[in-house]
Amino acid sequence: MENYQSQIIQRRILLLALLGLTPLALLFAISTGSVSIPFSEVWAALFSEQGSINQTLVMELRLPRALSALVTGGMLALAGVLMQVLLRNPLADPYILGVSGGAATATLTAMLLGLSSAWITGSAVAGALLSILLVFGLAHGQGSWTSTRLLLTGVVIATGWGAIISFILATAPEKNLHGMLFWLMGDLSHSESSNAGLVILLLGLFASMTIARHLNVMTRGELQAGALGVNTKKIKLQIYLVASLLTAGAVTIAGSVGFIGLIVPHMLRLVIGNDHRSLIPASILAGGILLLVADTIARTIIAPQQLPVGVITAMIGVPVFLYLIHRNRQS
Amino acid sequence: MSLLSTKNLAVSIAGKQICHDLSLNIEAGQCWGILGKNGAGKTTLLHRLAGLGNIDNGEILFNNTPINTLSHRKIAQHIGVLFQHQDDPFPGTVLESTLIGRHPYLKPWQWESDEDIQQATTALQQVDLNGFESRQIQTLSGGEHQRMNIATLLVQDPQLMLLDEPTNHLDLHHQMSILKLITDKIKTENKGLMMVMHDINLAARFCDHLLMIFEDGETLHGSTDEILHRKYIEKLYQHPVNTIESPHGTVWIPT
Repeated sequence: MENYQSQIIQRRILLLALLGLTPLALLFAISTGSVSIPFSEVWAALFSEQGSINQTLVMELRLPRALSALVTGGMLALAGVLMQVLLRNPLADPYILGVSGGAATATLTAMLLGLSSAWITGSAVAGALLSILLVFGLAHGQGSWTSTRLLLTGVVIATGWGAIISFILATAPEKNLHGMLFWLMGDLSHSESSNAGLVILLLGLFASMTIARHLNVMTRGELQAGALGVNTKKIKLQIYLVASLLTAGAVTIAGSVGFIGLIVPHMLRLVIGNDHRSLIPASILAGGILLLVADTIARTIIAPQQLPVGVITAMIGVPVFLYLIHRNRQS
Repeated sequence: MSLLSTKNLAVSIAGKQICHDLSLNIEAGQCWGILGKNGAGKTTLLHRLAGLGNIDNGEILFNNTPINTLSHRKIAQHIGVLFQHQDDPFPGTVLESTLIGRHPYLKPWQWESDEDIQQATTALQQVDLNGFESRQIQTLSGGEHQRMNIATLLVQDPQLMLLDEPTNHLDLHHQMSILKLITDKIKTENKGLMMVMHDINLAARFCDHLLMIFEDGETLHGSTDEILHRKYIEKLYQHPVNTIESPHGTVWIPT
């Protein structure tokens, strides 16, 4: 019992640490860039100074982008946690059921047609929602909602979107290709307001914390969950919708940023265990911080040129992940 | 007092009839065993009795209320199930996994209380998993895992326990101690039990009532003394059996 208590305290400490790390990461991101702004001046730009260059730089460029990164990372990590429970597979990621594929297809089409950025955002939302409905409709079809059926349907739909994306890339004029590739790899440079994303994230957080203990039970198997009083049909539908909407939100803001949704939840499962009441908030914070740091690196490492953030998340993610798997095997 | 009763119950799976007109009554304090060949439908019937899945016809009543009118949560507060096999793709400690037995009693944002944790620790001691609290479930042996699942069921503390092959993976000592633990609990706390068994001798020893599931939806049930006869056993398993008298009662052996 003391053991369990100390485990819970450990988890709280980790959560507090992540909570404390978030403003630090934000400060780091805002002060770093083509013009580096010392921490003291960031503070002034945020809260007092009016009209200086620093203020414009902070308030209009770096802060919105940093917040977008935080929100997007949080959404992806939470969506990853949920997808893993839904599919009973710790290696599932938010894109596995084709949400990002649908968004990408619609976005690239909009780019091909030369539509304005508002239209591109709208297309991403529409494409993601279309894909969510399509997978749901096809997997739900005869009423059986097995994880395998959902996974197969999602993977096949995702592959279908992949084919269309390849087709668009192969036939698109060269001037559009650069933007398209950046979008596909995940890129925060065009992100403007993250307010809608923040609302989705907070709603997602609330919805998933309400069912957090149900999620714990679901990881022990659907039959067991059913026998412990979980309405598995309803919960699965709820998980699917929340995870999909979070993914749609993230993809709309930043394109398909890889690895965050897979690696953050998986890493945290290894570090703080499988209780979703701690795992969910920890994943959101860690996902946000990771994407924020990665994006800061992406826009500064070979400045003035910017890299798509997806490249950096993979570069950080792959070695960390391999290390964790290695460490876990030894213990 | 009747805990669970069925009226003209018909259940089938994949077109195969398991029972077509089953009317039985599990009273508080009774221990029932389900016997039958592989694929006879024992597990499916057990699940249906717990309100999981759909029945073809008839009724299942818990405390005289049709089970399909009760919420999942309500059912879980009264009926607990031990499943036959389970894989655990996610990590977790033994204590955490045992604690999920409290799930049906907690509200959405509520955390387990100290009493809940105490209850889980006690249950782990009862199934001889003392000191396993912080072990990862993925490192448990089959028998240890089975006993952890039984501890989860003890933590859930239902009025009616439905066990699917509770002695699976258990060694000789633990087969006896676990069955004794559970059947004693049923008697002293006036609960009900129904368990799928493959070992006729264990069934004879621990069950006061038996349900036999034959091919093609034919069933037979009654007190163990009435039913545990050579002709029924041979018909059930389609294999000849013999008996030996021992100080611990009649022992059935296949010939």
